[in-house]
Amino acid sequence: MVKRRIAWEFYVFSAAITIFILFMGIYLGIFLSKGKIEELQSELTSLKLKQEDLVFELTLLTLNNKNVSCNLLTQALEKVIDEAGKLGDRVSLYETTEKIKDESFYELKKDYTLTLVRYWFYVEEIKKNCGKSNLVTVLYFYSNQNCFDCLPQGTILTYMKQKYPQNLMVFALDYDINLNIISSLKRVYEVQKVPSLVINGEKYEGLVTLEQLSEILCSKHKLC
Amino acid sequence: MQLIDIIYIAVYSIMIYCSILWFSVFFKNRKKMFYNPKPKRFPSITFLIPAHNEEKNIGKCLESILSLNYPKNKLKVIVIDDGSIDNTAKIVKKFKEVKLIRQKRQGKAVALNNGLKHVKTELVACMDADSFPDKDFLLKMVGYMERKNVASVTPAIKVLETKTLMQKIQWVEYLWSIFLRKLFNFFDCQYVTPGPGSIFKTHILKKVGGFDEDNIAEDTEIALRLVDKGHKIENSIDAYVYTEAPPDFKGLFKQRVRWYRGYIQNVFKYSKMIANPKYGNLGFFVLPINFVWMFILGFLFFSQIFTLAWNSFQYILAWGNIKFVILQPEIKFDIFLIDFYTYFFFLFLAIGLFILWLSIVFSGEKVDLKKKLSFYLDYLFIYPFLISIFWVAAIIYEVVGAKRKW
Repeated sequence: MVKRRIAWEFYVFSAAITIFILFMGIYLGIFLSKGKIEELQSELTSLKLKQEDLVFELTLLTLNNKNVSCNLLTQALEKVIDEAGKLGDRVSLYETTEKIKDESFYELKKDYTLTLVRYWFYVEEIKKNCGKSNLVTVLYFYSNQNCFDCLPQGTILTYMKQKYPQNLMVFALDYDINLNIISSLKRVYEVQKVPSLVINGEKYEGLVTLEQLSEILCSKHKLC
Repeated sequence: MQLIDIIYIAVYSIMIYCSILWFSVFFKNRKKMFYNPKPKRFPSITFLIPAHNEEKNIGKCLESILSLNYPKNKLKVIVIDDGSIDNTAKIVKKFKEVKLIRQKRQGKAVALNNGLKHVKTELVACMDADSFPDKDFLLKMVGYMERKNVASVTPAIKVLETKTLMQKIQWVEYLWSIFLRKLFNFFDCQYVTPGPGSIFKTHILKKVGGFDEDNIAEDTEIALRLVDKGHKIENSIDAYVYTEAPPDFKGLFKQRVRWYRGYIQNVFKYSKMIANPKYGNLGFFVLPINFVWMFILGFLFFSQIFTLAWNSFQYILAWGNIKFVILQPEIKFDIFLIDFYTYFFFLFLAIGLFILWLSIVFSGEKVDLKKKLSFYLDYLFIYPFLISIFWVAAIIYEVVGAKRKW
């Protein structure tokens, strides 16, 4: 009969190493998560700086200064809003894929959403002051939870944005975010479900297909 | 963090733990990997070869056994013809030194037991008719039999032919098994004495009652029984046996489902070993962790398939909405695409490559990126899926209680 023993030293050693490796992974995850937040933060800061810059130009415009060109301003806005959209993509990516979310993320997202809404206001004002009727704004209400049609809707909007980069401005807003202004917008436009589009102030509920959206944008709003 | 992430982390922890454990067993014994005790004498040995319709291989198999580097007067061969309807018996009769026993088709275990009745030598070796031992096969193994309490020595099995994808994958898998089996030897927890090439002490094998004839994995059963009766099983890492591997998925599926079902049944049969310190590392760790592995493989398989299917479904649906026009990519490679899953991915890739390298080196092969690169890649990326499918199928068959057959 052979006497068998349990090699405790191996089990204990391996457990220690495993815990070390796991903590390395989790530490790295936290480190990366923080790095991402910092990057989002710095992009948001620069977006807000550009916003302030534009605000002053807009103020000049409303003072009816002829030297401020409506066209230049629209172009500048279009560029920044495009940037804002890309930042929004990254914010979404962080929100949906990041496993170890930094606590400051939700504040950042609110800050971002407010910045975005402020841009939307400026565009609306420019439309009024410059008489630009071919400028189309889309408020896109999406949700990261239980929204099966949001991915197709987002894809359709991305496609349209790539097709008409100049005069189409998309503002993607999280339906579930806890901000007064979002609640007010939802109330004003009677948005009750996701996905919903508010195109130049007009609400469309549920998935708006590519054909429908082309129809709305081209015939109704003369985008094409 | 959601529940699924916590499950993933738990699964990864177990995977890392097992890797580290085996690495440490290897590290402690790294200098003894190739050591085989030199035999002081050459004990007499009988090869038992059950054969069922093996006319293609049996001749070659017998030739390789008869030309082994071993005293000819100490070497006996018995072929048990298990109800063949081809020329197996005719071919065997050409070999004067070989004894032929014939029986009705009753399966491998019965054939081995029938042969065992005629064995008068000190040792007995099991060999499959489609397997061929290396010249020094016995010299590397018999030395272990001089050690106290040793009842059996297991060989190092390699795949003979690598024509098909399945055989290429198995070729690498068998190298890995060679390496792992030696580690199991050091950890005193071998639970299989493989059909082709394991040798036994005859009196012990007879005393414990021979092979279990109602078992679909008699090579696992006998190993567990030997351990149960307090015997040791050793392994020689360079006693090579070359064997035929199933060439296609169907054949491999059948073989593996049988192996794994046999394993499950035998663990239930010897469930008293689990968590019983009397059986050392085998009972305390290896048998239970294999069960955990079964579920891990099943979980990883289903969760990966599900995630992949669900994501593709969603994206294709979304893409269909824009008539499959290719969009300019919005997200470039940046920090946002890495998180701690990336860390685990690279960690497991590194572990996988390291194990692959160790397996190649310690099974006497060379890393050959020119000829064997596709073997390695197939093994790294296809094998995990295959093995999961086999385990899941084995579990389903066991649960549903499908008829156990050969």
